[in-house]
Amino acid sequence: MITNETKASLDAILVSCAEEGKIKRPEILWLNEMYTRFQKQEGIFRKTEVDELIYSKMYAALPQNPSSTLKIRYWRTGRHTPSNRAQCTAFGRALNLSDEELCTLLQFYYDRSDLVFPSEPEPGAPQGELYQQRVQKMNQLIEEYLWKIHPLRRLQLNVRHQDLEHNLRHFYFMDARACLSEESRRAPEKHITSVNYDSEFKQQLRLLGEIPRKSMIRHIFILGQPYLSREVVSQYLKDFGFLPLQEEHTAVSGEKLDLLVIGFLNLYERTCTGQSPEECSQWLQEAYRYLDWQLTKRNLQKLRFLYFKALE
Amino acid sequence: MKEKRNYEQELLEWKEHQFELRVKYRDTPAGFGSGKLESQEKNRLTEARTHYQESHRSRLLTEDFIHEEIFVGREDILKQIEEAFAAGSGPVILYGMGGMGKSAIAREYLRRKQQDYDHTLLLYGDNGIQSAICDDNQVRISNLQYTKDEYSNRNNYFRKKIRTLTQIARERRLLLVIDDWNREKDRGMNAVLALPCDIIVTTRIHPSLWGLKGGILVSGFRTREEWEQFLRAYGYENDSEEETQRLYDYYRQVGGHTLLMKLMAVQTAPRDTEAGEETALPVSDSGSAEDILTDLFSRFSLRQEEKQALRELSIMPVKGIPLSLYLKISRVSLKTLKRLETFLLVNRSGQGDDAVLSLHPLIAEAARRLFTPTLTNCRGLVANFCNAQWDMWENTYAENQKMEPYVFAIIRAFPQPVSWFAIELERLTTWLWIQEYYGESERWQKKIVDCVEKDFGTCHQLTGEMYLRMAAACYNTMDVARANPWYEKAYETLNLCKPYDSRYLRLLSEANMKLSRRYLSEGCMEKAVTYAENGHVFFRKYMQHCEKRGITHPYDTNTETVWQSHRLWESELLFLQGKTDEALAMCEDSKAAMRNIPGTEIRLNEYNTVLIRIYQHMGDFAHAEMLAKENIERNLVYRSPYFKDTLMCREQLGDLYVAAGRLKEAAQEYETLYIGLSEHFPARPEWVERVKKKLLSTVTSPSPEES
Repeated sequence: MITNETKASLDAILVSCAEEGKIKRPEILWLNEMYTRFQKQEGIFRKTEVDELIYSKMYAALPQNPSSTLKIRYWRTGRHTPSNRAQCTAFGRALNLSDEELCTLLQFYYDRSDLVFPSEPEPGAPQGELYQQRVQKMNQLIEEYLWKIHPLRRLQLNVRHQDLEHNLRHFYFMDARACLSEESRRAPEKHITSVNYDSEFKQQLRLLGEIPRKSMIRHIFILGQPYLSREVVSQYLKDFGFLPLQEEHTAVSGEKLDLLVIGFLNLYERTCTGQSPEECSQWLQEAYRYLDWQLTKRNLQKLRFLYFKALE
Repeated sequence: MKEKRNYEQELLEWKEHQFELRVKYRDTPAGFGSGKLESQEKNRLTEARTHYQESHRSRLLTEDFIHEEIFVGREDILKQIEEAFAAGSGPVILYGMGGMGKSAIAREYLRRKQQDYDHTLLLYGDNGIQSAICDDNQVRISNLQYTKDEYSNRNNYFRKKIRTLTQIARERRLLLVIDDWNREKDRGMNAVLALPCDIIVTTRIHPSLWGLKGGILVSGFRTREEWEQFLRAYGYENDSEEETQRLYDYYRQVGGHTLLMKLMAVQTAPRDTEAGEETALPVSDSGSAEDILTDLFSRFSLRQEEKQALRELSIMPVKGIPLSLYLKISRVSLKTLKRLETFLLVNRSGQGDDAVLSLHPLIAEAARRLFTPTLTNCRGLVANFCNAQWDMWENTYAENQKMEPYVFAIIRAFPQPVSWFAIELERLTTWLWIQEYYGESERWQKKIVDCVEKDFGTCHQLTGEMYLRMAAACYNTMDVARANPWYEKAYETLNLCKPYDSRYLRLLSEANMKLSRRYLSEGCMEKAVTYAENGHVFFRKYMQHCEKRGITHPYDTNTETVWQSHRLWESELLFLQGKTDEALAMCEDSKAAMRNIPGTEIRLNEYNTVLIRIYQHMGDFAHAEMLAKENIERNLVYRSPYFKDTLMCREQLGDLYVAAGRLKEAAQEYETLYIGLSEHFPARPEWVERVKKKLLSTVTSPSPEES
C-alpha cells in the first residue's frame, strides 16, 4: 500500500504540472527564435510577408488569398500545429532549419519521433540500418519483459512457456489494466479482452507508422517496469528517436507530461530504492492507480500516460 | 533428445533472468543497490543452479567389476570381440550350447577391458531384459528410481531408463554385458541392442532368430593343448597318457563341453579315487548336455545337505543370491557350501559381504531335474525368506527392491501356493503391493485364497485371514470398490468360524478396524465408531490372552505398535465427533507411548498429522506449525524430498499457513510442493491440479494487510 506521504507527493506533482501548463510552450519560444532568425536571413520584417514567403517555399506557389497563410501564423503563435509530419517537415525546411534543427522541430516542437517508417525498409535502403538498430532495441525490451513474467503468472493464464511471446499483447494489456484497477491486478482475464488492440500494438512494437510520444512512454513504462528511472526512460526515448524526458518540454496541446513523468520517477526512486523488484512493481502500480484516479478526477485526461482507449 | 521443461527449471531460469536485469539496471530502484547484495544473490543462484543440475544429472552408479577367475585359452574369441568393437559393427553375440564357456568369455573380456571403460555393466537376461534394466539394483542411475506415481508402469520406466542410458553412453564409454539371454522374443530387446555402447550378449539362441547377422559361435577348445591346460587349471593332474587320452576322447564325445569337462576334472582328480580305480565317464543316450550333466551329478556322492543347497540355489536367479542372505534364510551351513564350491557345482564370486552364490544355468537345470524343488522340501527356505520380509513396512522402496529378484524367483519356482503355507506366502502378497506390483499381488493372493478355500472351506479362520489380505491387495490399488466386498467377507467369516489358533482375536480386531475405516470414508460415523470400539476390544483381549499364556507369535514385536495405532484411530474418530480435548489427550498419550518403541520413529508422523489438525482446529497454529515442520524434517531423513508422504506433509503445512493467514509462506510451501508433484507425480494429475489451484489462490488472494 502506498503511504499518505506518497499520495501527498503525487498531489504536489500534479499541482506543479497544472501550474506549469498555463504558460506559453517553450517550444513555441524556440520556434519564434528560428522564425526571427529566418526573418533576418531574408531581410523581411513584416510577419505577413515572412509568412507568405514560407508558404511559397512550402507549396512552391504564391498564396491564393490572405487566409492561406493563416495556418503559418497559428503555428508560430502556438495556436495550432501542422496537421501532419510532412507539413511540419516542409515548414521546417522553409525556415531554413538545419538537419539537427529539423530534428528538434519534430521532436521538441512537434512531439514526435525524428523518423517514421511506414513499412519495414528493404535491406540496403536508406535508414534501413537505423531501423534495424531501433527494432533490435525494442526486441530487447520485449524479451526482458517476457523474462519478468513469473512462471506462476503463466500458469494462472494457462499459457505454455513456449507461447509467451505469442501472448505478449495479452500480458501487456493486463499489466496496463492493473495500473488502473486493483481488481484487474488480481483476476486473470480472457484473451478476448485484448484482441481489439492487436493491430495497433503490433505496428507500434515494430516501430511502424506514426507513434505518439506518449504511447512510447507508455510502452517503455509497461515493458520496462520495475527497472525504470528517468535516465532509463530517457535513453529508450532517445534510442527510438524521441526527445528524452525534459522538465520544460510540453506536448503539442501544452500539457507538461514530461514534468509529471519525471516527478513520478523521482518519487519512485526516493521511495523504492533498495526494495525488491516485486515491491517496486507493486509500488509503481499502486502509485499510478492513485495518480490516474486524481488525473481523472481533475479532468486532466491528456496526462494519463498509461491509459489508452482500447483498455475500456 | 529435447528435455521436457519443468516448473523448477523455469523458476530457476526466471530467477537468473531477474538477477541479470537487476545487474543491468543497477541504478534503478529495483536494481542491485549494493555489491554485497549482488554478491549474495549471485551465490544463492549459483548454489540453486548447482543443486538443480546435480539433482537432474544422470550418472551411472552401478559398477560391475570382475576379479580374476580361472580362464584358459579362447584368445581367438577375445580378439574377435575386440575387433568387432573396433569396427563398430554393433553388439557382439556369443552363442552356443549351454556350458560351453560363453559367460566365462564375456566375463574375461569385461575383466581385461574394464579399465578401458568409464562404466561396465553386467546384467542377466534370464527374466527378460526389461526386468533387468528396470531393476534399480542392477542398473542404478542417480536421480532415477521407479515409482508408480511418476512413471505409471514399468514400460514407461524402461523407456526412461533407456533414454538416460543412451545419453550416458554418448558421453561416457560404456561396456554392457547381458548374460544368459535366451528368450526368442523379448520386449525391449531392440531398444537395448541399439544403445550406443559396446555390448556383449551371451545366449543359447542363434542370432538369426533375433534378426541379427553374425555372432560368434562358442564351441570347444580348438587344440588339445588348450583343453589340457584347461583341465590342469581346475586341478586335474594325471601323468598317465592313457587316462589323459580317455578324457580327451570323452571330451570329443561331449563336443568339447567345458562345463562338463570342468566337473570331470574335479571328479576324476586323483585324490578322490582309490589307487588304480578308473572313474567311469558319464554317458547318455540322448547325448544332450543336460542329460550328461544330470548323470554326472548323480555320480557326486552328495550329502543330504548338499543336495538341499543345490535344490535351493537352483530356484534362485541366474545372477545368484548374496551369501549373507542365503545363510540367513537357509539351514545349509557354510561348510557345505564350501564343499560344493570345491566340486565347482556352486560358484562364489566376490568376497566378504559382497559374496554372491550362484549356479551355472545348466547345473541349476540339472539340480531342478534331479532334486526337484517343491514347497515341501524348500519350506524352510521359503518360510524364512517370507518372514524376513517383515521389515518391508519400515524399509524404503529401494531397500525392498533388493529382494525383488528373490520374491519373483520363489513365485516362479512355486507358481501354485499350498494352503498349509498360506500365512507365510501371503507375506509375498504384501511385499508385492508395497512395491506397487498391484496386478501381481492380486493374482498371487487370489491363488492363495483359492487353495485355502479348497482345503479349509469358506468358514475357517485361515480363509478369513486370507480374505483380509485379498482386501488389502485390492485396497492398495486404490480400488476401494473391489476391496470392500473382501473386507465384508473377511468380517463375516471370522465372526462365524471357530477360533483356530491364538491369532484369531487379532484377526477379528483387524477386520473390525478395516470396516471402521471403510464406514468413516462413507460418512457413517456411528458405524465407524462401533466397529472401532469392537476392534479395540478384540485387540485388548488378544494382548491379554497372549500375555496370560506366554504366547509370542514370531514377528509379533509390533503388537504395541498396532495397539497404539488403534488408539490413534480412536483419537481421530473422537476429533471428528467434536470431542477435541479427549482426542488431543489420547493422541498425545499414544504418541508418547510410540516414542518408547524403538525403530518406529517414522510412524510418529502419523500421530503428528492428527495432532496438527487438532491444534489447528483449536487455533494453536504455533504448535501445529512446529509439528508440521517436524514431519517434513523426519520424512527428509527417512524418505526423500519427493516421497509421497513428504509432499503430503508439505501440503498440510501449506494449508496450515493459509488457515493462519500467512499466505506468503503458504505460497512458498505450495510452490515447492508443486515443483515436486509436477516432476515426480505426473500419474496423479488430480493432486497436481489441486496443489496448483492452492498455489494460485495464495498468489491472487489479497493478504490480510491489503484487505
